[in-house]
Amino acid sequence: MHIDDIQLEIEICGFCPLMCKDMCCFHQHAKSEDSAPHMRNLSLWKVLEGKDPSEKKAFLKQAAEVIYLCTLCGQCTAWCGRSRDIPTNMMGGRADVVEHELAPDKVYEIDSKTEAEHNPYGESHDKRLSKLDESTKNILKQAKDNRTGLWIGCTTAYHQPEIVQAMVKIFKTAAVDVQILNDDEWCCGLPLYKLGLRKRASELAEHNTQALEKKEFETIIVDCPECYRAFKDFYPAMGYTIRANVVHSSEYILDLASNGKIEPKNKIAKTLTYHDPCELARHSTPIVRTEYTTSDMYESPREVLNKIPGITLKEMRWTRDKTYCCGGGIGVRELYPEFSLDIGKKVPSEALKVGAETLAVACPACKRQFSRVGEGEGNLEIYSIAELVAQSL
Amino acid sequence: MLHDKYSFVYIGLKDAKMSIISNEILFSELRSICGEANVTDHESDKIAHSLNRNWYTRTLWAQNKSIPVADVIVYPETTQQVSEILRLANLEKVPVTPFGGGSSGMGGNIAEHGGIIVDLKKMNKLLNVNEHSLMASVQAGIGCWGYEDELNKIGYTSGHVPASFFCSTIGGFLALRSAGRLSTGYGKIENMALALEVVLPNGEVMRTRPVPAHAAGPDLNQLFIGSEGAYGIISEATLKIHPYPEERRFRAMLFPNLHAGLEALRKILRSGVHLIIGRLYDERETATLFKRTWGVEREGAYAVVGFDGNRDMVDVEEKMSLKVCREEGGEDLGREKGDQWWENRFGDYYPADKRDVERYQALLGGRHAGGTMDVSAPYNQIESLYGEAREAFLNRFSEKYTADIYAHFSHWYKHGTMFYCRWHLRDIPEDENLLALYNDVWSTIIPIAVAHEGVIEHHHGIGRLLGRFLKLQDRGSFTVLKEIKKALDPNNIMNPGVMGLGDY
Repeated sequence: MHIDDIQLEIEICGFCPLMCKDMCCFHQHAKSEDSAPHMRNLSLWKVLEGKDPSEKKAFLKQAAEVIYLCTLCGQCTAWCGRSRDIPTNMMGGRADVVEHELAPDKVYEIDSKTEAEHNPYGESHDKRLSKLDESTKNILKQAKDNRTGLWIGCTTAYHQPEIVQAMVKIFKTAAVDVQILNDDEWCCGLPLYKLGLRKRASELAEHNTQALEKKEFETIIVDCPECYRAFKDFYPAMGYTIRANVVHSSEYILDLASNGKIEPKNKIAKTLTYHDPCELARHSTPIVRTEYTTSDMYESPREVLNKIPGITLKEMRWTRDKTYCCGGGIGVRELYPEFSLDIGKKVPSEALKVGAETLAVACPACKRQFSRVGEGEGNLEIYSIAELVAQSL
Repeated sequence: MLHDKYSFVYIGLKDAKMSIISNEILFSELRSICGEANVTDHESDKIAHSLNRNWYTRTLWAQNKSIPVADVIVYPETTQQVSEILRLANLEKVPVTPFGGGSSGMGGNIAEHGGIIVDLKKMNKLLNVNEHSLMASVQAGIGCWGYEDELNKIGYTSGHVPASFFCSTIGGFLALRSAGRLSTGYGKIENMALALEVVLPNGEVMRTRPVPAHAAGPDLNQLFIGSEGAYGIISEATLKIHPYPEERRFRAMLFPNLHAGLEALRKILRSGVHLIIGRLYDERETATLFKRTWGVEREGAYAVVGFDGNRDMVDVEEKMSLKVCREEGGEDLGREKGDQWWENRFGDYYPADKRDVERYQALLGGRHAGGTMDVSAPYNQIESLYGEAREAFLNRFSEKYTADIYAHFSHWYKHGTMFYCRWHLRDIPEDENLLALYNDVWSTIIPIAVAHEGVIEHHHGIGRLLGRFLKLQDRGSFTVLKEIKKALDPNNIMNPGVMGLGDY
């Protein structure tokens, strides 16, 4: 079983005297005892202790009831005095649950949708780029230089096309040609990996790795932190390597601004706060166990925002490694829509508390979630970093 | 399952009164009170509520034995809902177990007879902060960390910092008479409570007033604080708050032995210095602590003393305390080691490595037994009490098992102190009846506290672990507790069996 490889981690967390219980965003909203991190780990410990395959399966069925009560945001890990990696424990358990066909129905629905349309939303793959405006499509079509690729991502393509439009505007201003994969871009696979659907995730990773290889990009710009982490951390873990340099859009835009290729001039006289997405923040730092560690990604988004004239950047209470989950990741939204909504309300309300008029995000899923729950939360505008920079050009 | 004669769980009921209401009707009634989303009989949540931090049910569960679980769990959001739940339960004679953060190890929140668990975590509002009078009102289910955090934001502190800081509720503290790390300065929870709102077993709501003191009859707050859900459910509380201190300072000391440390701290308290913390480790624990923390071998008794408040006052109190410590032979280890202790105050609770896991596995597998004894007594008794308990434990168990026992003294008063002793039995034979062994340990050491003018528990409550000893402590007072229970809860629905109450 997958959890055999992480037995010690599971046991340690299961035996902990509940030290991260009140910090778990899911538990804070659900309040149920079975949603607390230690209980989820104890349920996996029980599976490990099963005497034979049939007993293990019986315990696994019980574990399946609780191990999806988690956004995998990693707040527990950031808070833990020993930095125990509970998200990895949950992902291991989910992989076993899926392999034994014991996962909640919604998980298999997401799998089927992805198999059919190459995206977890089940949107038509043929219409992946249909929401982009004509001008953006034309610019992308005319790109000749293939050194730089732009990875769009499912959430951005289907739900936040304005982020792509903003990025393309920035790159055009900087006279950088960017090419996309068009029909060859499939879901990065990380949302499926997280739900335990490792087989499908691996298929997607294989396809995407080959498609990117064919294009021979030197650099791939990725805006979605989930895709970014898939390429940087999870593809190698699954045995796939992307040879091009994978950079997050905020890093790339910062580079353009620092080298004078773009110059944000238009003043945006707003008080603004930045929300660190889990995947780009604590999951990309050594706080989380080394197996899936990349690099610090706290500063570049803030540095980009500070280059926009007029902006007053204020920090919220829950930022950087202690950032609060948006609750809008694939899986939580589908399995537990009410908790997803509840969790998502926290960041917009914190933003308003520090007097922010604009909430800047570096993740399309966060933007989608906050736009959904932020309604009625005062006059809070929600923009991606790329959109704000594009407005300032 | 719980009626095993070797169980350490006190069975208070000769015959649990049986309800004839069907679960279907009960759930339906509860849903109409609390709403669909706040009532569950989901198996995983029922098991999780029973397991929580209770060693007994965790062991049974690990051994694939059945554990007692509630029939249904409700999450009320208002006092009115709690009242209606109890009114229903009383009418239908259904057992009710109140539940807070689930951090207790005493088994007081096990739904021993099934019935309803009333989980108060959705009653988590900070209702009011009265800055002028230094008090705050909360719903009982508010988490300790969340409450302290809200107070800190506006420049105040509750002064309550227990080890269960991240997993406990104010209602739970009140139910069990909790103490935090800073109790020497800020008091235990019973010293912090100014007023309570309590839902009585028949559903009536009782309130006291948030006054600093009164002579209007007995103090009803103190009747319900520590009643562990046997007399009703604490639904709201008004607690003292304090301006966040200008200065907080810690100082580490090393005394030649435990006796010298005990004398030093007693004299500091007697001098009128307002210590916020005094923590004194015995020689055995000191040696381990030095080796683990600083990698050096030292003999003696390690202590941390702390002060907070106005900076000038802290300077004076620190100076006075140091003088007393030196007179008792204490070596000043400086502020740094004191600060390190405070900064790492939660650190040791995180299981660290494989060694810890092996320990827990051994505990669950029955090869290792371990527990705590935290008792308080007057100064003239405390040292001999600990010495005798230690000796009795080692004499009785060293031959057959690898026995270990050590303690720290961590909550100080002008008139006495307490010790928190940990005991371990390793290399337990496979066929050992573990529950009988646990009973044997408690029976060996707990009565020693009673014989030394002490009490059997200082700050964790009685639960089901120590119910049988409460009778020993003072037969006269136990009768009073029983009679109050009978008067308030004639149908014995409220947490029957907890603290050994409910046998009528």
